[in-house]
Amino acid sequence: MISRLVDKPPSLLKRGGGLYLHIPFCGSICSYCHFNRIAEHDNNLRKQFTESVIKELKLRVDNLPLSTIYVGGGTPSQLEPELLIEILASVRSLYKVIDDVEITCEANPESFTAELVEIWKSAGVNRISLGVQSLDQGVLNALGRQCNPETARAALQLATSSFSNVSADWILAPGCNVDQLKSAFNEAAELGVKHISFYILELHDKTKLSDRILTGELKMMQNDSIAELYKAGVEILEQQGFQQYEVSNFAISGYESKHNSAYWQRVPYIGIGPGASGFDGERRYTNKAGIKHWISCIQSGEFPEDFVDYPCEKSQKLEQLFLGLRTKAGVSLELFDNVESLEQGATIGLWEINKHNLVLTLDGMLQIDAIEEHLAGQLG
Amino acid sequence: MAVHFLKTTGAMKDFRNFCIIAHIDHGKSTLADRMLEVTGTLDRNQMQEQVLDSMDLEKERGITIKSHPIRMNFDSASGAKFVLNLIDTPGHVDFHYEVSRSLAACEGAILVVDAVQGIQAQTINNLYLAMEHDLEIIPVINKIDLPAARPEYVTEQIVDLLGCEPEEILHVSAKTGEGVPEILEAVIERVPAPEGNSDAPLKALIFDSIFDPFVGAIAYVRIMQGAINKGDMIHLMQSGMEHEANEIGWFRLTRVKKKILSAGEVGYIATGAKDVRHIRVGDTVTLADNKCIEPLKGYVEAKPMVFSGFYPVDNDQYNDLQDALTKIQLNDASLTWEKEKSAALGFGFRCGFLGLLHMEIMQERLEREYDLNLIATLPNVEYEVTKKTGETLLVENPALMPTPSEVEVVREPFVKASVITPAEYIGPVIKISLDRRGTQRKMEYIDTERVNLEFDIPLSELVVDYYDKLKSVTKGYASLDYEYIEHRAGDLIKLDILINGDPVDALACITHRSSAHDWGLELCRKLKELIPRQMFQVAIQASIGSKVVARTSVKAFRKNVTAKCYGGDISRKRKLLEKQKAGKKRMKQIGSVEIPQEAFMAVLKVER
Ligand SMILES: Nc1nc2c(ncn2[C@@H]2O[C@H](COP(=O)(O)OP(=O)(O)OP(=O)(O)O)[C@@H](O)[C@H]2O)c(=O)[nH]1
Ligand code: SF4
Ligand SMILES: [Mg+2]
Repeated sequence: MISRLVDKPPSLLKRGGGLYLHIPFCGSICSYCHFNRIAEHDNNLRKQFTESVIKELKLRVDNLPLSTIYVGGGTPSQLEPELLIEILASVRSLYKVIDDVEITCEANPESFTAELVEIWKSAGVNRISLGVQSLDQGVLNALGRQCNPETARAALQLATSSFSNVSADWILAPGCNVDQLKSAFNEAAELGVKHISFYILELHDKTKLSDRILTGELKMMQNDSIAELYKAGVEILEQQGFQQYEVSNFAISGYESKHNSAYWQRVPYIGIGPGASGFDGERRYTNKAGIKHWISCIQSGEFPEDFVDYPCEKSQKLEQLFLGLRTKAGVSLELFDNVESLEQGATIGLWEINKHNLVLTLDGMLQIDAIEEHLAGQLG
Repeated sequence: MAVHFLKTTGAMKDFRNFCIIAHIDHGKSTLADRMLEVTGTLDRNQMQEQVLDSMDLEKERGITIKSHPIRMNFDSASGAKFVLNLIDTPGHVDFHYEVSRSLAACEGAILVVDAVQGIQAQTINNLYLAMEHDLEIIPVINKIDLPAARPEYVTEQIVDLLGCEPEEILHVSAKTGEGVPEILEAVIERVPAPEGNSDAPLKALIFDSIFDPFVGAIAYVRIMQGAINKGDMIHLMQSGMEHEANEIGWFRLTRVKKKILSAGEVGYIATGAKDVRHIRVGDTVTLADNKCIEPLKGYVEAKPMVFSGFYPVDNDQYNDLQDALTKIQLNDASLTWEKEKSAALGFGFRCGFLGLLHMEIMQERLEREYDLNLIATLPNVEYEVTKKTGETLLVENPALMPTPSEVEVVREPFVKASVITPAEYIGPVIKISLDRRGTQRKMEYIDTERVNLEFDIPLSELVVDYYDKLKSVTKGYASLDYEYIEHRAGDLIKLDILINGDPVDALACITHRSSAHDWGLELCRKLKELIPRQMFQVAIQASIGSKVVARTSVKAFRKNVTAKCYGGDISRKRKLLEKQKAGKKRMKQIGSVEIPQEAFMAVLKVER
């Protein structure tokens, strides 16, 4: 591994870019969760964490402008808002931040309070991503979420009345049906939600949910019905004016997430916090995931990286491929060896080929994993 | 018996040069082991099973691929001291030429016959070769330690074959060592000492050559007359080239440097030449400043019989493959290759081999020793095509076969195949041979139980599956040997395979019109089995010209539905895809279809 004690990683923000900040704290652990988060934490640890974040910000300081800041988790609303203010203040003092910066904070409904809203707003947060996931008690139970539909509704209301740019996460999970999605998306739209992330539930090993499914306690949906529901969901969203711009992201025009779009376009971003990843256009890194390891590295002045690589030309193409496939902009045809061999997929409706790009259809997006693998073999 | 024109002089009367010949696996190399032990040539920690089989592949497969010479000192029971040069030879038919080369360096041959299996096809053929060279034959029945050994029965067979007395046949177990000293005594008594005038101008036969990266090309020689000293300037009579004999010597397990080699001896001459082709096997070595007049007869060059396209799976390995072929050819002049291009597979090489085993071994060596990943196309033979224009060409790649309208006549190589089989399988053996367009030439009882059948049969049929089929219909009891006779005209056509409507040149093959239809069907079926399900349906068709004779398809395979979201950890995702890609290393992308390497050999597995 590269010696990180003496060498500072090369300058990140060559073209300007994003900053991702990972807050690993949660109130409790959801049944399906495989993210990097912990439920056991106290004020002491959170303070130590904040201190380390500020140190990492210093370690990675760079003088190119930030156009987006994304505070994700875990659950950022579990962090004392005063601590978040401290962090954001450091960002502003250490980095150049452009005037109309997009600052997103993720929050879970049960910890999203009027007090928090006030403080976040004062710190410049201007976009909220609310982890609603569902407005159905049964689905929320299966997911092991802490909130109930009422809390979720209240949080949505609070968010939309305080912020002009609100996104909500929705999951397609066992117990979902078309009617449910229809009324939920209608409600969100009426409240003024501008962006929806609509995902298909993924099962991960060693989660409570996958255990329950393995023991037969809960039934996972069949692929066909998932596909049907997903398509129906997309249709409902589009009727409400949410345009799909990525596999699982939908927005009222003009409200697309700038931060996430940067990932797909391979724009540089700094990652701060345990398990966070960063990219400077050439070098990719991923931080140590364990909060204790991450803290102790930073405290001894080391870069807390677990993994670093410099994708070669082939690897870069591969990234362009699978990132591009996720988006409605698609993938440049220049990436492929032989454009003629792409015709078959177009004929059977997995993708469309326009003048410059290959763009997945909805059917294609439902098979994106298999298509990625297939097209990876066709790269020039 | 050899006819001796030249007188035996000096130490030469104590020399004996002989080789061990036999059918495959009858125990030549194991017998050589025992001889090396009895003569104390190798000490205990040098000893291992089939010690002369020094290549990794020889050890792994338990077969001899190259001839191996080694020199031994032997004190006979009479008290006299002798120098014995032994050459162990391969038994497999692909390496026949190795045997014939070695014979020319010897005055005698030990013919080993397995006490259980008795006389087999290569026993007879190698014997005839040895007789052509006028060698003294010492018949030996090996493996007498085996419970199933039938020495009396095998003795009868040998007596019939050689016309010798039963007492002349030695009984031995190369495993236990029983009877081995007696063989060495027989060598001394029966094999004539070499002859040749040490004072005459140097005349030496190159019976083998190898390339050593440190010393350059090395000639293995038998000195027929005269002598050579280290540092002499040598002249090669056929090629006209001259080299300095940088190093000379003879063979133990490794080369042993000496100052002089003289008439009757077997040894080596290191020339520093950069390429073995500069010191051709069969050429005659003489001295630049004291040339002999007549060159030795030499050999007919071993010609490749079987051809296959070798392509790197990853096009980036093209140059590496060319380098590797160049290097391997340094040591194996019987390998030929030339560049070719396939629409489906990209750039590669059409390689020529002595037979299927030779091909298999080359592929394995290239992949292992040079870390390459190859696709080999279906092996085929060399066709002689006369066009309507009168022009005649040799076609080694089915894809290059001219269209039927251009062709006047196509000729294909025929071989004489001899099959030795227990009499009860005569029926099935004849049937599979006739099914493969063979014609029966001869049927001869070797004894009451076994028959020697001879067929003229197209080599192309033999190459495909004849041997496997023969083994299966005779429960493994038949043995096969073949030799090229001539090219004969036949109603031969090209069968194209189309994947998703496009002909894949690398899958094309040439077949007889009468079997083209069945072939097409079977091939499609086999390809369907071998091509994994993928994103799209894969249509497979076989056609003759524009007429489709068979079709099938591989259904599309849809993976689980997923549409997940992830944040910035793009490396992990990429690594996963790279891993999946690496997992498909042996797949070749043709259009939008991934074809596994085995598919190109599918025809070999077609049942008939
Ligand atoms: N029981 C027994 N087995 C033997 C004897 N001689 C050889 N074998 C076995 O027969 C097999 C073939 O022996 P090899 O010495 O490799 O035969 P080969 O004739 O050199 O074979 P090729 O070089 O491939 O033609 C080995 O498994 C030997 O161990 C013997 O006298 N008795
Ligand atoms: S809130 Fe999010 S990060 Fe926390 S446990 Fe639930 S799913 Fe995981
Ligand atoms: Mg052997």
